[in-house]
Parts: sequence; C-alpha cells; structure tokens
Amino acid sequence: MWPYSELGIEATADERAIKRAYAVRLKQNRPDENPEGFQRLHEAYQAALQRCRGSAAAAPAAATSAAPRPLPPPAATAASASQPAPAPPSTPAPVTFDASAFLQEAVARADANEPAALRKWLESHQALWSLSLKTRVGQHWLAVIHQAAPPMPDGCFDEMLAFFRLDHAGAVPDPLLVAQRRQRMHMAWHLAPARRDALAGLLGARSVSARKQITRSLRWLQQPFRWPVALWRSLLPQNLRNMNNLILRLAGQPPVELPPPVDPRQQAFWLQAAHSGLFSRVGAAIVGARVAGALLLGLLLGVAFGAFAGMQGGQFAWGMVGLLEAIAGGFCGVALAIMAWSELTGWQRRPMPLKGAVGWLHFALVPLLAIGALIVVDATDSPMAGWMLTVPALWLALARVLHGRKISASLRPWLRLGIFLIYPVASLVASAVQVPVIMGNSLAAAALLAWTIDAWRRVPRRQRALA
Amino acid sequence: MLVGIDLGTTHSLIGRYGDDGPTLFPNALGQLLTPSVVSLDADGHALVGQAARDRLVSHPGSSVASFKRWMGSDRETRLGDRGFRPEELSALVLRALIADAEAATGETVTEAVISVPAYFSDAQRKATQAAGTLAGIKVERLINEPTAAALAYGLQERRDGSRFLVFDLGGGTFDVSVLEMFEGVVEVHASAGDNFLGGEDFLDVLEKTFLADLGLQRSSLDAATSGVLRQRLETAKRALTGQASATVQLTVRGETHEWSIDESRFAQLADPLLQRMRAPLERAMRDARLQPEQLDEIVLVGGASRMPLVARLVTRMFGRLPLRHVNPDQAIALGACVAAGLKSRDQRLDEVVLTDVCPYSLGTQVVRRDGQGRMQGGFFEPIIHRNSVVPVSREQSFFPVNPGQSKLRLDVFQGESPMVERNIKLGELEVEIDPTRPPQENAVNLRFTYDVNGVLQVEANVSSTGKQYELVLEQNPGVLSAEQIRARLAALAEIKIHPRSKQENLALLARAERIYEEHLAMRDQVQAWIAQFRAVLETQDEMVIREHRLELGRALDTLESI
Repeated sequence: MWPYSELGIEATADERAIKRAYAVRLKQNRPDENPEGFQRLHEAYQAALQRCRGSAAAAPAAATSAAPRPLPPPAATAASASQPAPAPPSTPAPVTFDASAFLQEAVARADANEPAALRKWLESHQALWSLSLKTRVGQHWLAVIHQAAPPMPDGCFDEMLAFFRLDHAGAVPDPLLVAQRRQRMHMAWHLAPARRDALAGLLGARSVSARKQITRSLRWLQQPFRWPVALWRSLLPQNLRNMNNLILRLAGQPPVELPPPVDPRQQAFWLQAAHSGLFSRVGAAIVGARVAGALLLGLLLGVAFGAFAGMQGGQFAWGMVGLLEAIAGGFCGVALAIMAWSELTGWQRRPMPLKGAVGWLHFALVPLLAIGALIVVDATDSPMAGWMLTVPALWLALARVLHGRKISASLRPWLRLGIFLIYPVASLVASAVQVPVIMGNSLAAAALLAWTIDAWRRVPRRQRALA
Repeated sequence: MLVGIDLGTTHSLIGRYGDDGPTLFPNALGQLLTPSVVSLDADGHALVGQAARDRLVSHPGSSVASFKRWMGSDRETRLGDRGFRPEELSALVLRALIADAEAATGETVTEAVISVPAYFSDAQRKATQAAGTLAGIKVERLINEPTAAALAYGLQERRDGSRFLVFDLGGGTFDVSVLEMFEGVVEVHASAGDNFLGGEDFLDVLEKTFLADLGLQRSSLDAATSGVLRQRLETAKRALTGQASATVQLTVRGETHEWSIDESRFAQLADPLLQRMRAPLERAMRDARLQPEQLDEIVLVGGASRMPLVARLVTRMFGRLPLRHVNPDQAIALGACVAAGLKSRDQRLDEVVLTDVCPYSLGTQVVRRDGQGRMQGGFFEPIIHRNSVVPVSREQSFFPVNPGQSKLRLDVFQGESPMVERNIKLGELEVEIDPTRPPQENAVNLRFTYDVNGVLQVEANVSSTGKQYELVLEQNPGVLSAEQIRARLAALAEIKIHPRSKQENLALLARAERIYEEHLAMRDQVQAWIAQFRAVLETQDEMVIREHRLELGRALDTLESI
C-alpha cells in the first residue's frame, strides 16, 4: 500500500521504522543521481510521516481530551481570555500575555499612521520574542482582520503583517482576501469622523464650497439611516448626484460595501436612488416624495396667493389654490408620464432572459402593441387611436434594435427629445397625413420588422448563454 | 582534485575530503583563514589575503574587501587602471586558494564545491559559479553555508536522530537552517536568511556612532585613516565579547580622539540589526513546522556569532540555551570539504546522503477573482514553495481569463511577496491556446523543475492542442553570459598573483607599511626597516632574506604590542 510500498515496508505508525526504511532507500536513490526516483521516494516518505503523525496526534487527544491547548479561538470570546504562553521547560512560571489587549492597543496606535513608530512599539515587546507565542498572536491578528476589520491605515497594516511574518506568499490562504481587508481597514481609518476634513481634501475638494459639500455628504453617509430624513434629502436631484459620486469614488466601481462608520443602508439607499428607476422601492418612494412636495408647494403658494388676493378684494380667493394645485398636479403628471415612458424604453432596450411572465412581456411587448395597433387602425372607425399605439411600438422596436450599437453623440439628444415628443408628434402626424389607415399599417409593419430583426439577432446569443 | 571552498565575505578557506576526513589547507603564511581582500600593486600583480588586507590601510585606492556583498550585481570596483566585477575579484581569491591547495597536495585542482549563503538568489549563485570559471575550475555544485556547517558538525558528533538549527552569522550574510540527521541522512527542513546582514553591519553601526559622538564627518577622514578606524573598531567589537567596555583611539590630522563604548550601549545600537535577525529565524521555524522545544540543539557558526548579543537573542526567541559553538570560523569550510567528498562519491561517505531545499518560492503571475466576480491581477502564485526539498518538479494548471483569448503569457517569478511587483522576474513564456474553447476547458499545465544544482526549467503544456513549450530563462540582470565570461577570462589571466614563495615577504612588507600609516610616533624607524628589507630582497639570497624576515617580524610584533 502506498506510501509504505515505495519505502519497502508494511504499514506502520512507527516513525523510526519509516525513517530507517527511507534512509536505506535513499542511498539507492540519491537526489543528484536519480532525481525522479528520489522525488517519488521523498513524496512517499512525507506521506508516511504525515499519516504516522496524524494517528499519533489523534491517540492522545482521544485519551485526554483536554491535553492539547487549542489555538486562540478566532471569535470574540478570545478577547476576554488572556493567552498564556507555553512555558519553556526551564522557566516554570507561565508568562501571561493578553493578546487581545495588545492587538487593541496596536490598532489604537496605528491611528496616528506612523508605521515606523508602530514597528518600534511592536518590536519593543519582550514577550513576543518567544517564537511560539508570536505565532499564536499572529494567528489571532489574522482572525481579527477577517472578522472585526478595525480601522487601520495601510502602511500600519503592512507593518503588522510584516511583524507577524504574514506578508509572504503562502503565509495566508487567500492573499486576495487579505488585500481586500487591507483596503477596507484603510478606508475605515479614512472615514473616521475626526479625519473628515482631510478626506475631503484627498477627494480633491479645492474650493471651500466643494469641501463643505463633501464633508456634508460624508456626514450624511455616516448617520444611521432613517427613511424620512433620507427622502427629505433626496428631494433635490443635486444631492442624489453628489452622494452617488462620493460613494463611487470611495467604494469603486462596482462598489464594495463601505466599512463602518458608514451605515450600509445609507450606502444602499443612495446608490439605488441614483441608479434604479421609477419601478423600485427607493425610486418610487423618491418620486412619491417629490410629487407630494410639488403638490404641497402648490398648495402653499395657492394659499399665499389666495390670501394676497383676499387682501386686495376682501375675500379669500379659493380659485388661486385650485389653479396652482392644478398646475402642480399637471406638472407632476407630465413628469411622471415622461419618466414612465423613458423607463419603458430603457426596459425594452435592456436584454432580459425569456423567463416568467415579465420576461415574456418584455419579449412580446412590441408585437402586442403593433398587432393591437393594426386591429384598432383597421377594424375600428378611429384610426387616430391606433396611431397612439403604432408610433410607440415602432419607437420601442427601434430602441431594441439600437441597443448595443454605438449611437453618435450628436444623435443622442434627438433621441432623448423623441421620448418627450412621441405623443404630440404622433397625433400631429396622424392628423396631417391624408390616409391614416395605410400609414398606420405600414408603421406597425415597420415596427414588427424591426422587432423581428432584433429578436433574430438575440436568439443565438441567448442560446449560447443557456448552453 | 575536487576541493571544498568557503568563499566568505571577510575570510575564505579551502580544503578537501581526505583520509582523515575533511582537511583544510594553510596559505603561504601558514594560516587557514585567508582574508577575502584583493589588492593590486604597482606592477599590476595581485595580492590576496593578509597582505592585501594590510594594504587596505596603506593603499586604499588599489585594495578592496567585502566584495561578496556585491555578487550578482554589475557593480565594478576600480583597482589601479581597470574595473573589476565582483566575480573577478572572487576569482582572484579563488586562484590564490587553489594555489595553496596545490602547494599542499601537489595535485591539480580541477573542480570545487563552493559554499554560498543559503539565501543567495539565482543571480548570486550564477555569479559564484562564474567566479569559479574565471579562476579556471569547474564549479558544478554549490552548497548552502548552514548546510555545510551542519554536515561538518553532524558528522563529527555522529548523533543520531537529532534535529537542530544552524545559526550562521558571517561577515556579510546571515543564514538560518533547520536540519535533521538520522541514519546517515542529513535532511534540511528549511533555510532562511538575510544577504545583507553580518558582522560588517555591526561594525558600520559602531563606526557611525564613533563619528557622530566625536563630531567627525566620514568624508573628512582620508581613506587610510578610515581603514585604521575600521580595524580598531573591529578589535573593540571583539573585545566586547569578553569585557564590559572597550576603548578606541584615533588620530585625525594630528589630533588624538579617544572613545569608549560599553556593552549595554552596543546592545542598544545593535538592536535594529537584532530585530532584522528575527525574521529569518521565525520563517525557518515556521517552514520547518517545528516548535522550539522540538529542537535538540542550536548551533552557532560564523565569526560574528561569537558576540554575546547573538546568544542572548537566541535564548530570548527559543526560551532556552542549548547553544553550541563549533569552531565558528572553520565549520562551513569543513562542511564544504565533506560536500566535495560527497560529490566525488568518496567511499568513506557512502553512508551519507544530503537532501537540501530551495530557499525561495518560484511561481507565476495570476489574476484572482473575488466573491463578486471582479478580477484583480498581479498576484504571485507559487508553484515550487520555498523550502521544498530539491530536486523538485511541480505542475499546476492555469486557465485564460477571457473567452476567445488566443495567447497566454506565463511569467516566472522568484520571491516571497504575494504581489509580483515586489518579486524578481526571471523570465516569461508565451503560449498559444485555442481561442474557440471556453476558458475553463482551456488549461495550460505549467511545470517547474528545480534540480540539485539550482537550475530551473519551466515547461508548459497546452491541453487543447497538446503543444509543448519550454522556457530558456533569459539572462538575469547582473549575470555574465558564457561569452562575457570567456572574454573576461582572457583579461583576468593577464593579472598574475605573486608566487607563493614571495608571499611571505610581501605580506610582511604590507604589514610594515600598514604600521607605518598607523603609528605616527615610530614612523621614521619603520620606514628605515622597510627600506632595509627591500634592499635585502634585492639580493635574492634566501638565507639572508629569511633571517631578516624573522627579525623584522619580531620588531613589528614588539611595536604593535606597545
């Protein structure tokens, strides 16, 4: 049985026997004369030793369960327990070393961002000269990195890793994970309230107003999240943009979750507010808040004008309230319609898997509209109503076809304008043309054709994705 | 004849494995330790050893020491009217050593095993081998210094089944190896080190403090004075091993300065150096997967390990004191002789097998994907982990990052940092892959093979096409190519080393000249002696010369002991 067969012995747990057998075989397979044979032999030797030690370690553990002292548990429970160093045989008095307090102090000292001073402090610990203690404290530090990720500037982080000799390939299981923790801890250090001004400077705020704006955004980000406050702040589109820019600069693209003191719900809210459209919880809430705000503004202005008119004419002008409220409502209605329409266009442009009712609707919306338009145009007496369906169908079909194509910058504003003007233009054209039925039919047919081209183009890609 | 050579930063030794085990050969002055110093005299002849060392003081412009520290680099030293690379300077030392060995045995030296610090890089090892070629011998095998020391120590003690740590603090390098010996097998578990940490650094610290304390500028001292200062500080450093304090006197432009240092101040000054020693010790122990209590002994070798500071450091780290000094200066050379015996398959060493490790990691550059699927490049992926037993051959599969990729670049790196930017690039290999396959089915198997002579071979096998690629490692920066070595060999052959018969006289003259520089009081007297001795040398009468030589030697001894 391998590895014992390679060594020419029976399976055994006797380390000396394994070594003796290895020594005998080694003299026939010297590393410089028979490299392949030596490598095979050495692998077998290592495997045999491993098994032998594995069984040796298991035996006493079964006999006396408390015998081996476990490594410092990485959980927070270890924080309270001090780590007694294994006493060297010559000195019976156990040395107590509080690893958690030590690491906490290291984190506190790192706050000053002076790596050289931190190293001096680390090196001055006499207890950590002991090889066995230092290894264990190093493991504890790794656990702290992975779990608590306390704020620490990267220079000091590197110093800590170097001190515990964890800065080498192979010393940590996943260097990428450590690199990410390093970044996160560095960010946490930057985000400390005391350094807010410095961070604003780092983010390139040159003017006083820009600095003020960034510090305010940072402060908002670090406050605990509350819906009313967040909605109130999101009323101004400018705030939305500022917060989004700040988060993307701090967290990168795609953004990682920012460390405390940033409230992760704040980060999620502002990112969603800036990126998700009308049809999401955050988006809908913001639009709702804005509509409510507009209506409220209309009401207040109406009351004010009404009162002003009342002062002139002796009677409160309720008409003013109604008028301004109607203006505000109309404004909101138009804005909502445009938003909804642009959402719809965007939704149609995005590719979507053909799954579930929504997926099928996404796929079939254009032909449904076009067919509906054909029916209305040809079967009813009011082709004008059909026009209201056929033009958007064509528009959406074109949006689908144009997706992924490079659209020149000069064309973009026109397309955007088209979103706004689609219904007015449709009705104008419909009333202007002499034979609306034929025109309506050909437009709907064009929409179907464009949609078919797009569908045909997307099929192989989808098939590849499924495979 | 196959010899073993310890080519040290401050001293070098030569010997071979003979009937009585390892034997070292004395130089022309009857000493086993030849200072690794080279000096060029007025007629273009090279002096090596004690004479050259004395000339560091009297002729600083044409003498050079500690060049082992520059091995593997392009640095050239000007001696007289030409520049010398560190390989060439080492070759001159080797030639002097070989002459000593040939004089002692009457045989021709054809091949040598040279000891190098365990933590020497590939470039430094190649430079050492080039030095051998330049000296006209074959150097196929290099042995790591701590391993050599362990060989000498272990075979001498014949203790079976023991694990020990060799702590080797030489003049310019620091090495740690953890070894195990059983049934004639010498197995190295791990090696680590610092190539720029040695006794010379302690001297640098002393020198810096001396100058700072006395308000002197380094640049204000002429070369001769600073040579004198270094020698006196060296004496003081040695004195501190036995006594609590030491005093150094120096005369600068007629003004005599006195400076003393005690042990605790020295310990404080040396603390940064001691801190640097912790890393290799910790790494070697971790890589060997041993607890300090599992070691049977800690063996100190290398001249600088005599410092009491070093013993204290080891005690603090290992929590105990089973230290053992084995004639620290010779252990490595004796081990190199044993290694030479092993290389020549000496019958008397038939029961001994040595297995060593590759002290550094060798690997390639990879892109890693995090939990969110983002790619991050520049990571080092070791294929041969450091402290793997050599010869070793390991294979690992790598996949292209993007679909439709038609080429894959495989870099070869040496180093320990998880990021390649901080490691040394040895070369790269570009392989063509089938772009139509999805990345996860497009494996490239990369195989690294590292042999006992430290040669790395890199092979790549593309699984989809079955094509095989092999890397011819490009020239390391700082390593001479075969043609360059041939060219340098011719140039170096023109530089003659003084015949052994003359060396004793030359060494005495050099010593007298050094004393002339150092002693202001008796200068005229010394100058007269030098002139007289030169006149005697002109007579070429061996009898008279020997008589005068003894007389002058005694006179100089008396002068120096005052």
